Amino acid sequence: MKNFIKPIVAFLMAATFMAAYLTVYEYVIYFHEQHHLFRFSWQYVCDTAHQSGILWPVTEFVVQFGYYTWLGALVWTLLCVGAYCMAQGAISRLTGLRDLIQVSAIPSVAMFFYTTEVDRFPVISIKIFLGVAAIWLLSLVLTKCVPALHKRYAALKASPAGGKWWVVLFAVACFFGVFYAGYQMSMKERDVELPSGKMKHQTHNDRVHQRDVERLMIDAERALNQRNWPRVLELTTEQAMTGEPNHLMSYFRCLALYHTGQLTSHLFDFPLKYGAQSFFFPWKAERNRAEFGGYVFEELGAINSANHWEFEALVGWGETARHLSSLAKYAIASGKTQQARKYIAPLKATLFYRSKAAELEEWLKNGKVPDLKISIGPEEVMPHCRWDNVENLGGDLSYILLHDPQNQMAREYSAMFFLAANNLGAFWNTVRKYWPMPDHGYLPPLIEQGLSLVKMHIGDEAFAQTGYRISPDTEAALADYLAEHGKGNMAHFPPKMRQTFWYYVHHTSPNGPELTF
Amino acid sequence: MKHYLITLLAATLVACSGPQVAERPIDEPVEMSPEYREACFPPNIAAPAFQLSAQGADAYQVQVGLEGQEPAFYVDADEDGDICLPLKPWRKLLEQAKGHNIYLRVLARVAGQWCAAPDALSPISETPINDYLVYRLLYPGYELWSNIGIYQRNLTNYEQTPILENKDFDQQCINCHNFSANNPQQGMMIHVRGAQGGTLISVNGKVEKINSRFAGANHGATYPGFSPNGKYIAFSANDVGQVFHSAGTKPIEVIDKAADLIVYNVETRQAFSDSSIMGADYIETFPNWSPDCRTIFFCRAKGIDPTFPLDSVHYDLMAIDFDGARFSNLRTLYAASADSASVSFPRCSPDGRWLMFTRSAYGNFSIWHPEAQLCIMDLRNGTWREMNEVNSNSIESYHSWDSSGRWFVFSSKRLDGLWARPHFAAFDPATGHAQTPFCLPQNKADFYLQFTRTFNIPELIQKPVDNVDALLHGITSQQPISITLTTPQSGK
Repeated sequence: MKNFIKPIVAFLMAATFMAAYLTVYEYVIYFHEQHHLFRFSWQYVCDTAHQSGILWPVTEFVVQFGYYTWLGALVWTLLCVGAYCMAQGAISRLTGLRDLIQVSAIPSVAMFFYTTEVDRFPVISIKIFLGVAAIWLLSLVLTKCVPALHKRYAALKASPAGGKWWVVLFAVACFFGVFYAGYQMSMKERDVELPSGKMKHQTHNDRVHQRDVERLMIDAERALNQRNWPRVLELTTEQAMTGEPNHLMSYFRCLALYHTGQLTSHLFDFPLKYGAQSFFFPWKAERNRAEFGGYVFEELGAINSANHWEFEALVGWGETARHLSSLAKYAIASGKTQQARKYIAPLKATLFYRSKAAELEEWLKNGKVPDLKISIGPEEVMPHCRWDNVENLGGDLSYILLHDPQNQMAREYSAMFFLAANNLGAFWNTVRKYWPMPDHGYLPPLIEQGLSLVKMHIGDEAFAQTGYRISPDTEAALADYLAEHGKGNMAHFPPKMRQTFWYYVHHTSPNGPELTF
Repeated sequence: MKHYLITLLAATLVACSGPQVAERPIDEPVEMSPEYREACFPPNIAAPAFQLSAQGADAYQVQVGLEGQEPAFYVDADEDGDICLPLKPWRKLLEQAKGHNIYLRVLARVAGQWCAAPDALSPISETPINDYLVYRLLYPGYELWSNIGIYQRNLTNYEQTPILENKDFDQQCINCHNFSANNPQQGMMIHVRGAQGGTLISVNGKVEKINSRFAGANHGATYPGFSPNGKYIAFSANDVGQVFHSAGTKPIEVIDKAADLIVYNVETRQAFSDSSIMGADYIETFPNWSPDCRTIFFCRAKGIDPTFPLDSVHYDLMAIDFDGARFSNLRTLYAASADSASVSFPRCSPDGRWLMFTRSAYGNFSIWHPEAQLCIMDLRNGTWREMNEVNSNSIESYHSWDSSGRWFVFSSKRLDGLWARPHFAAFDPATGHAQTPFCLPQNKADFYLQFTRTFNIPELIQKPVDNVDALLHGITSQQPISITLTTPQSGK
């Protein structure tokens, strides 16, 4: 029976790790794959090894299989189980004893938990694997060369196999004990460095919470890259319901609201804690921001700005498939053929992105990128150069609309951005330029809510002369809201009222209750 | 590994196929990337590698030899059209060809027939170029940076060795390497930005780190010019900013909101300036010395305020005399602003007669300006011209002379418009004319397609930097020495 301990534990280990990789830690496999790109190029291997050590390209080689998360999970599981088998063999050969208490599971469990964090590239796991492999190889040599070891090992092999089921159970329990200890160690309290450079102490619960938030954000980003906007909305709503501020998720939520046609009706469903900055990332020379800041510009069709953000992301994160593909797209759309070729070349040397490279080459041949909106192209230069406002999206939205007044996203973003910025005057300008009053029906609810405050500012008569109308429903809702608001501290706002622009201005806007007109 | 296999395969093919004889001229032009045909080579340069392509061609051969003679050697391309000229026969040929021409004969097989492009003749100079090129390698990004290193490349072969890499000191930024008279032993400096920041100055192998922000100066020391006698470093102290183009082909504008000139005496550790080159009225930048160290050339624009349109900042080419203590005779050599143009990177030739500079439409950071071109001025009479013999329709920007004044290196983005690559050109000090330039040779034909770092600040040196450990120690272990600026008549 003892002979089955190793395969049984190995099987349970494989099942446990595989299940964990495919559920709790699936996002980690995806994350690492997205942030590294192994290339079958000697030059690349040499350069990477020189820069980060020889184990770095080896780890990137393994990580590349995460392109299919099930494959990545399988490869990591096989490596962990392989390490276990080798450690078992090495212990038997070097001690002449059977490892019933599963000491040999420790390297595998350590390997596993070192692959479960997004902010730690799993080089250590590869190091452990190679270390175990080296010890195993050494044990093979030593049992051949050292008579005492050879004798003990031969005796062990010749010893009759037992048949006690509780021994197997004990070994399995030991493995799970090792696994539990590994989990506890991986989640133990520690100090982490924040992007600001400050240190923060994290408890076990903090770490569990961080993992859950990370998973949510990475899943949302994955859905966004797949342009699965309902899913992005679902995930960002899930996060918003926790009530915790999260700039990235607010930013994703705005994009998802627009793409699902709900921006001008549901923007304030949850407190917009980042105000106007929910629509973009002000530039702060941080690679985390650089990675995501370009999305909004690509969607808006501002290719120069998208390119700027994307290249900064490439500098910060290295030549990943996503950054190379995006930069290649922008280069093709801008007619920069040679640059596009350079971005495509590394993709051609990969295992999983060759088809992407072929697709990009096809676009390069045609000189067009399907579905890439271009509102401001490389050829459009004003009499004087126009500079991005990296601190405030409002000016850029106005500039995009100047070039492309039919840009629906810029229209919606512009109106909502100025509302979120408490800038009623800029909102009113945008509406008058780009939101003509329809002959029948009314403007979207949040635009109407903004207009109702404009009306209060300029007076009923002046407002009527502009040709804009506000629906009776909105007028009634405003009256109800103001009645409640008038109660002061006694006011009780039902959910519907809390989801209005009026409530935002009075209660949750980071800019305070003052409006600029 | 791939390269060696390709070379082995190519060698095998060469052994099997022999030199081809052209059956007819080729109809379509054969493209070579990078282009090496008709370039003038120094006799000590490494053999180039390049990619060939022509419509309908399925094989290529390159034959190389002395003009009027049989090929000295030939190489068959691999299936991608890649050609790596072998180093030993190349060097042997160049040695024989000093002062003469060699030809690069390109043959392409089209529909089973070998066709020849017209022979391209390349003059081989008798004057060797300085053996080493120093450059910084980094991504051509904007504000973020990751791995940055300053490297020296042996031009006679392909060996590149690091001088400093920021992986050895917490990813801090290093920039603006500069040498005294192409001689790192005589004088060399590098800025380090970050927690261990400062300006490293190496003189006769001894390294010291000074605080880049001189007490009394308005801004930190930025663009340097090490004097040819190794005694002074002229700095511009710039308040640098960046803005990004919303539209058009340029991605970024690097601007000076203010800048002054400062001279630092490396022997006495004194820094001084003058009201004529310091103050809010003008922005002075990019200092460079005459060989006798009595004149400083620099660029100057009118001071700007936040409302000033940044695409209307124009820098003139200026000079000021310096006697070791005082500045005098400030003068304009070329009023580029009057032409609605702008000048950057003045570089005086070692014989003191020629001044090379970059001319662009506005601003001073010409490496992002597609219209930027190299120009040359004859300092004897003040006339200048665009160097059309070396310029392309892409960006030409940073440049520096070799110690003989018969070669210079310049950054060009002609290969793809984004990544700067060092190009070399022969220069005739008697006429002020250059010959057809060539790109830094590599031992892989697709190197420039695959390599995604940009070559920044190419500087030629006669001997390699040999105190790299001392430089690293200077960064990690030395505390920066504070320097106080003494300004006879402070302008700000």
